Amino acid sequence: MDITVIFESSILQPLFWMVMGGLMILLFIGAGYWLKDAGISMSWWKWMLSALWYAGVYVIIAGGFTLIGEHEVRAGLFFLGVFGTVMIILGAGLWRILKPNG
Amino acid sequence: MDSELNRRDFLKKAGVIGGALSLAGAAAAGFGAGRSRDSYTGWGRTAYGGDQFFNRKPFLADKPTYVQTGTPRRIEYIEDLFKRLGELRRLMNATEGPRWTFDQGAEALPGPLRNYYREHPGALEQYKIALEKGREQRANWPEYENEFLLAEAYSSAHASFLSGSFPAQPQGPPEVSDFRGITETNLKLKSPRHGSDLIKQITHTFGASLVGICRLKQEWVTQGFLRGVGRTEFDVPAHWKYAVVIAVPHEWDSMYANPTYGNSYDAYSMLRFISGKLEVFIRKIGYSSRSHFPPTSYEIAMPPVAIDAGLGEQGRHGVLITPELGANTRLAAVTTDMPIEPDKPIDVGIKKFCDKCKICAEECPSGAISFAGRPDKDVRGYRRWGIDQEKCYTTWNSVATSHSRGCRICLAVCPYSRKRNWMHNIVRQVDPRDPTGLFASAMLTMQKKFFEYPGAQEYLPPPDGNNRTYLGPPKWLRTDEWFDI
Ligand code: SF4
Ligand code: SF4
Repeated sequence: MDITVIFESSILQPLFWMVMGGLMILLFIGAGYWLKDAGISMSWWKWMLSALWYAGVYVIIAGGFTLIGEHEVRAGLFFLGVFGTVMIILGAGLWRILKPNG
Repeated sequence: MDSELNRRDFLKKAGVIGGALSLAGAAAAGFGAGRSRDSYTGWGRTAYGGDQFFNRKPFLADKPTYVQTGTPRRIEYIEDLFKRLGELRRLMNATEGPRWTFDQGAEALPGPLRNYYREHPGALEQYKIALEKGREQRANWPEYENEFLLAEAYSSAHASFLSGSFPAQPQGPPEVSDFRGITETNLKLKSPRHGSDLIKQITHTFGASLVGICRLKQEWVTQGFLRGVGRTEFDVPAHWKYAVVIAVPHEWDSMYANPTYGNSYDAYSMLRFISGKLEVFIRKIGYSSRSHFPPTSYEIAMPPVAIDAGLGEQGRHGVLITPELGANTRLAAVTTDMPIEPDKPIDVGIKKFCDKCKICAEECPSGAISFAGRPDKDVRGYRRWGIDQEKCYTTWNSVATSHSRGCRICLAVCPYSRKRNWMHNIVRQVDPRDPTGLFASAMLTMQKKFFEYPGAQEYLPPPDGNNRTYLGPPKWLRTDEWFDI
């Protein structure tokens, strides 16, 4: 199936985003348990930083694939490579903040 | 305790899966936004119709649902209402020989007509009633004329293609030809704003992607030739007060595959129809009008008029760039004396971006586009980037097309010629609002480092190049997808 069908459909597109919303909720509930089990105590600002980081990763993946979808494959891969690396570095920094003695 | 653990484990796993799937969803959503042809800016919300087409596949039937009850035969032309009535009218108005009248009845009609009306008793009588009703309708029209002025003008505009060449080319001086077919009306526009809103609404329904209005400056009117008159030095007619400027894009996928898969005529033909219909509409609501459309039916220079009308800015390549369509913007206009409110020009930083960008100049096979850091040429009293028209035309004659039907690579490679998806829309919104120019610099750096450009010579046929196109050709235009070659 051509994936664009979902995003050109007035029925499937809203359903897609509803499912995505559900997945995000699961992600954050699951993350709460993971962090607790890892002995990491979370405060509101740690949650906010984590959510921002995740949103960044999300947007970069979406951006890279938008360019690939537009047939600008080279631009999409560069986009993913360069900004993905930045997000990995930021992720490592975030982890140090979340778990200072880790 | 156990169930608490299980729930916990379950949610932990679900969280990981949810996270992975949501990132996959981001990839899918991004890809969909990028690939969707409905994120091209066209007429209305989508250019290609989204999911407006019903999926017929599950309902394919072996037999059509109409019912056969006898031996089929082909349709006789006389069974067509308008052909039949046309024949009758010719007989009723015959200039040679006796005229047919209703009193003579069906038996006096020639062969096929007689047979038809014999088989359809009552049909002649019905036509007689229709003719009488028609006479009443025309007599009553003045009573309704004002109420339905716009609807009538709208219909006339759409019907105007029926009368021979379209739009009717001017004949005689503008003071005559631009007023031909005008409706005499005593209705007064509520305000110039109402006039411009009406014209924009109507022009969009004719198929325009963008519409802007400006007061027509004298210096944008050409000199030395006037359609309808011929070679002449002329003063700008007093009734060429305003220009309604219309923009449409080329079909996007073929435009990206310039020079060999693209063409100029898709936009030209659209513009001819839109401006031609608008010309008729404006006259039918009581004002003078003259359409100006490509490739050569103009008395005005289009890009500066479009700039005055607020559609965009002129790029390094000389073509108008609009925020919505980028350089994929083709233009027509209608000049009129209808009192309408002009728009204001815009400055969204396109000209400034061109100072640094130069991608079109780098990709132009003929070297026709200036590389200068700032606009470097004074043309008829205005400073702009120089374009070497002769060199450009030489490329038109060099690329692998049947004749010199254009190149348009500079339209395709321009970073402003992009889809209307979330990513490019963010750029469209943020860039003109950033006073530091840092965002534009970052975008330009990415454009140059990330994107693939074939290189100027590659667009030419061998031995100079390899017939490359900017993006690959769309499947539906590739001969080898449909024919054995
Ligand atoms: S149409 Fe082609 S040759 Fe002419 S200026 Fe544009 S890129 Fe250059
Ligand atoms: S390609 Fe670059 S320099 Fe050329 S018109 Fe477009 S933005 Fe300006």
